[in-house]
Amino acid sequence: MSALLIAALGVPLAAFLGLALAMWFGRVWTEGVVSGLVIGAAAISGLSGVALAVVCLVDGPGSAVLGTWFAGFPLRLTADWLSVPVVVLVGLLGCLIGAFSQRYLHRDPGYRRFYLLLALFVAAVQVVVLAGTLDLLVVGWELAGLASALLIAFFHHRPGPVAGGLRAFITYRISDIGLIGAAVVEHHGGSHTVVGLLLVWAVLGKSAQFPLGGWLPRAMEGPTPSSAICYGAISVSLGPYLLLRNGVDGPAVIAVGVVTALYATLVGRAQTDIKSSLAYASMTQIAVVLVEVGLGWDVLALVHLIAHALLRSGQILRSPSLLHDHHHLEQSLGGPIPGTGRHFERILPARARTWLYRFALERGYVDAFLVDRVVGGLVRTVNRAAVAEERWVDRQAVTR
Amino acid sequence: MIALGPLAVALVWLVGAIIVGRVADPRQARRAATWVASVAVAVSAVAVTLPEAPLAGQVSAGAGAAGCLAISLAGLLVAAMSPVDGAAPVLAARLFAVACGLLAFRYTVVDAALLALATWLVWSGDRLFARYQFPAAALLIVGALLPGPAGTIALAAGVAIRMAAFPAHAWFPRFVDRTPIGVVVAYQAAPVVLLEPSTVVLTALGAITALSAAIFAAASTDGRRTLAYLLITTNGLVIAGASWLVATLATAGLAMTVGALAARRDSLSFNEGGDFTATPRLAVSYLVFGLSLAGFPLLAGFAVGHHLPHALATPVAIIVVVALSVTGIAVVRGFLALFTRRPPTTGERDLTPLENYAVVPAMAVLVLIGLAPGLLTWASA
Repeated sequence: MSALLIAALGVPLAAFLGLALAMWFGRVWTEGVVSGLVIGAAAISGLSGVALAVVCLVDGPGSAVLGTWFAGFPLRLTADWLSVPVVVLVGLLGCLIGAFSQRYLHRDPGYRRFYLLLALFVAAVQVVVLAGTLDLLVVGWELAGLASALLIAFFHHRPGPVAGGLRAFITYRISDIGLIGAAVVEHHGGSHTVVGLLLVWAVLGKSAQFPLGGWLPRAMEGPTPSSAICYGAISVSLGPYLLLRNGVDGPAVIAVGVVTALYATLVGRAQTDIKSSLAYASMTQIAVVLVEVGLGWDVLALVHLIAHALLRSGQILRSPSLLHDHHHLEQSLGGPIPGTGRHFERILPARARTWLYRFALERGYVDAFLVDRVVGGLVRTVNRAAVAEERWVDRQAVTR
Repeated sequence: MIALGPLAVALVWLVGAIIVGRVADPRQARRAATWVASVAVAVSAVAVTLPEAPLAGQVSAGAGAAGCLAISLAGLLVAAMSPVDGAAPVLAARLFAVACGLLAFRYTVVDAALLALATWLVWSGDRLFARYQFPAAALLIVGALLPGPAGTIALAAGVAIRMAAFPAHAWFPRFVDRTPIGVVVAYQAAPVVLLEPSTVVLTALGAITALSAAIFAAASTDGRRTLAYLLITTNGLVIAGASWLVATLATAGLAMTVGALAARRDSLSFNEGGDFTATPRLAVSYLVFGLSLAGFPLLAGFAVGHHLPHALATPVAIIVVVALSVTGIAVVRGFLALFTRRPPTTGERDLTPLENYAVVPAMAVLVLIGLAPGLLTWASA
């Protein structure tokens, strides 16, 4: 079992390190070699997952301690019916995205960088999924966050993707405080409730839940394949997975799920491009999964999570062909596609509809409040203090 | 205690300073300084393998050699990456000799005197620097001489001012702005923290310094300013108990990367941006050295960043966790602001072979320690 566990996360990691070394020393491998390496690594990782499933069937779920990484940091990996399906899913999707990108990013100047980051992302997620301790989970969690942020900023000559990547990274780091805090509190012997609440805080950012979800539609600025794997499927699913893994449920989780589901479904209806509406659809479904987690319906939540990941990544991969698909659908139907959301017109008065439409169009004013008031206010205050200090320093330093 | 390994390295730096001083051409001087730094790295690497145990009485062979290796690697970065204009290789070499001297003579009084010497060497007539750093040097000497609590307080105050801890940090951004970046690194490389008395107040002060400076770094809109605040953050974390070996190496790498970038551009304003495709190695070294400071996994700072909150009292631990998180934001923000968004027209040069020669060992050490943190405990045990 140990060998399979190591293969599941070690092979993509080795592919990342190998590619990174080769790129640093200026080895220009052909596109086929680079993509083949990463696709192969993801495939081996996914196949190890399948083999782990067989081992789990025969011997039952188990965990393996692979020694200590450094003092006070045991390397414990767990293979059970929660982690194994997700390992297979990640390996499979990594393969699929790798194969899709061979054509999608053919001759792109950043082709090798994309595969490098994809390998890092797959390795990091496998660490998160297989981690048997919260400390080890943090390792994968942070690396996955960095890989996603850099993938969002992939087209770095345009300001939009760069701003989107930075925003995602800032949100991740702020919510990571919850995860690291939970690990520290666990070591200090704190109560389970505090750990649970800190983990819910970590989930808010990673799974783009209300009110920290503003980065998700902006994350779609990255290349389509990476959007599919990160924000349609895997990255946003890590939040519910974290709660399932640590057995966190209860009213706080349900509340987050309900509020986000209502918010995201409403806002998603007013989006005017396919990727944003898919982003909000993702957010809605993850919120519903969180409700299931909060109610303690763990098996349903896991099935929902995996089914959603597969469907959504397929939809996002297909999104560049949306117009074509739409035409095709209308031709097959022999008329326009029937609209959705009619029930809003039936049950809501006109004034409320207008108000709700404006609310949805402005994304609930959450972004404006958080970015301009909270973060913007802090940044302005800090910069004003820095300028004041600089002026004081100049006065002190001037020779009279 | 006197350590022979670090003494040898200090001597290499001293002799090196004389040799480099005799070379008139700045380019040749940079070559010579790189040679001297390489020899210092090699000698420290040999010293790391020597036994720690005292040979006879107060004399040891290998004690403190890991520190010398970190300092010498920082010295290699400084020697090879300093821009030709405005480099001060002789001064930097002397400062590195002083830093290794601190490890060679482990007597508080001698160390305090050596730190005062470093301050004197660096002083260029700036009034603000003098107002902060000479009192700090004096406090350190007084603290080393006085016994009892009065001495401890003087030592603590001296360390806090010398390391630009809050609220005695005002001199530092100006110092970074107006001094050759290599000299800043060399001045920072001296392990002042060896004199630090372990008091709760100083630990809390370090954590608060780290957090406030990290917030200032994250909000700043200039590469050099961000660097200055990131250096203060690191100092704060070191005061709070982080490893100074990793901090020395990572800050040297980050600072010299910024210095190399400053030599290629007119301004480091975040509004201008850069071109990642033209300077990928420079950009990656900024990211790797910076994320090492922020305690990112698979890099050298992680193990320390992991242990630090566990070892501290809860309120201080919270501050440290938040500070590390904000440091990460500041680094990635700086990375994106300095290396993206510019259309691919500028002919900016990536790391030169000489710069690459210095960056590769430093980065390799950081990544190796990140992958196997046990190496650090083995080397500094």
